[in-house]
Amino acid sequence: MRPMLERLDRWIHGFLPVSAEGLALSRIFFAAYFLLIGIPTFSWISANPPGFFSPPPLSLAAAFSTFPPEPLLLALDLAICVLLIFLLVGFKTKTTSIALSLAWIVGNSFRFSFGKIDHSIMAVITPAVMAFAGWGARYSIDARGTDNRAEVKAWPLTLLALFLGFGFFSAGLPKLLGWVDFDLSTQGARGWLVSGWHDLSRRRLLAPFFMRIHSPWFWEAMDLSAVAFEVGVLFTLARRTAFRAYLFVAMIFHLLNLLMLNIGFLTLMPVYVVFAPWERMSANGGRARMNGLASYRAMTVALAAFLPLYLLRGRISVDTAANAFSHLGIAADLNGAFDYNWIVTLVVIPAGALIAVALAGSATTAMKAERPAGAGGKRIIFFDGVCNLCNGYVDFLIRRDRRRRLMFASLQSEPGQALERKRRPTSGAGEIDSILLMEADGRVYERSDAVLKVVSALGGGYRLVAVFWIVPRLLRDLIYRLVARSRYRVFGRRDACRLPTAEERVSFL
Amino acid sequence: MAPDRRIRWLFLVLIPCLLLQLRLREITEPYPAILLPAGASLLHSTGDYTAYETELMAVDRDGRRYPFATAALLDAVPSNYYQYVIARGLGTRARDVRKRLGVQFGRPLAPRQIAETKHWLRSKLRSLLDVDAARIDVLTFAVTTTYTTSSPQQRRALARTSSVDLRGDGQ
Repeated sequence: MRPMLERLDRWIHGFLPVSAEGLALSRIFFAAYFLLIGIPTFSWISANPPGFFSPPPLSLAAAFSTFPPEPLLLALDLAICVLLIFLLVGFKTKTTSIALSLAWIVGNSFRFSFGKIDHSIMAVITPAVMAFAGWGARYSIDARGTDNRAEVKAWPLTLLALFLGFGFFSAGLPKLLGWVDFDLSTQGARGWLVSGWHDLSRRRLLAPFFMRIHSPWFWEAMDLSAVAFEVGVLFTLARRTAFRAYLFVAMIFHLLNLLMLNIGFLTLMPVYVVFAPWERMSANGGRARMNGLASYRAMTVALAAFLPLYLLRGRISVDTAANAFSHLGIAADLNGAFDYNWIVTLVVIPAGALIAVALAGSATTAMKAERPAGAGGKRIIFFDGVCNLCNGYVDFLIRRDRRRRLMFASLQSEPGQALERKRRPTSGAGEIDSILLMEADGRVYERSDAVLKVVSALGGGYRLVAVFWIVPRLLRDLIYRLVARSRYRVFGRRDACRLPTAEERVSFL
Repeated sequence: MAPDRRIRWLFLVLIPCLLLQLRLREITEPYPAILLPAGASLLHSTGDYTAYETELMAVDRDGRRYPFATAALLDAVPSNYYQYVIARGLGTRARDVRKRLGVQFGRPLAPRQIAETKHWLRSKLRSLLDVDAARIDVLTFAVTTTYTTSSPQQRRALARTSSVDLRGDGQ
């Protein structure tokens, strides 16, 4: 029993990595997303007569006999708006997050009192869960004046992953029992398409194309894929890599749903973003800080940007754009069926897909190694000492590393060879295939991970290279390997390993 | 540092609760609950698919009919809830009250609330159509599509008519 409980503890507290910066960025994204896409509002509910009130029997609203009066719902709207802004700037973040979820649940209890429950629960509970993770510990008013060492916890992320997994499982289980019948004459996914087409006029994007597909094999395959996707999620909770790969598949699934069924799953996007490898996007190996003034400036700009977008919300459509074009004398025949939310959907879904690709492809596999003596707490860059390209890169770094935060060693040196033996114990002293970066804690990164981490560590504008973390590591490393393989041929090589000049010696091991 | 055991217990208690929701959904779906939409119905590719469209008409005391858009009457209701409101006689029919395991789920609609709803509907129709409506006729059309051929065939026919009586106080 005890080993099982210990295993459970390891899973709860170590399933997903956390960083204060990553959590903070996901908090900002979450709040900004709803401020931009649409703040949940409930005051409109009170305009309806009591006969329309049919709450879920097991809900808070069931304790009421009719819709609440307008002032109460208006106060709820106002509270949610203020709480979202507080969440964005990180003011009393833990209380704010819990209050936001509670207010949202109360509002939704009444919203879903027309006889139908919409399933946006994951977004609703995310703030309450993440409140305990410490997502207000950075880039926030809360962090101002503290030593920025507020504790962050990993278990809420595990809990959110469990909720997400269970949510999908709850959707997949009835399909598993109903759709997996290996009967080519019954089709579940096609049923969604056809009912959406007729009952809800979901006829945009690729829906007409899929309506023309009559192959029962195709639809049976779609049914089985959907069931495998929704039920299989529980198995992915055993391994971090599997779960992240699942999120990638989830994005493809949602994209397909959008194109085929015209269902956007917009409220799930900010939930997925919580699981994104945000820590990789912050400079200095996830230890970046935004000091007080800079964070206020950023927040002011963010709020100023949201205001016009919010005011324009619902007023922008492709028709509006077409009219604007026609005033300029440019004929634009755009499909008026698309409104603002559709435009946002078409932007948000691919952006989400990109993040998901990064999730699946960017998992670094840093190994740990013993640090060589004499490096202090500095990062060490191990490079190919005979390669002209690598030496050029080292020159570039030395020129810009004015604070001398980096140390260098060639991979042909003794510490370099020791590290290579540990990294590639079976390949022996083969050709050098990658630059290596050793962090202060002994973690070693290679190839494109190492390049990006080193450049962003230079600070200033070089931090912008962090955007390349969004590119899947598989793709980044593929490009790296192509360049690495031809580096001698294209850039040439030295006859002997680089020796540091007297001036450079302080930076070399 | 040893992990906080309270968190372990939180997970151990939550997992059975999550499973319990699945059972509960068969009786009545709770809110809030960690449940996502299932939609497990099947389309029989060898048969027809029938979708239902509703048209609303106000009828005055002389029997004259005045068609109007559902969205105009239910302008404060999201469109995806229309069918549920219409199915309950636009809020003039008793609510679904179920009793399971000795527990009553849901509250019945009081006659006073029904009367208030009828008054609201009449006022709304007066402002929309300038008509003193005695009832609302709900015409349900069945749009049947046959998918057995490569070019689906469609036909539309009146399936049923129901009425929402706007007179009386619902007692």
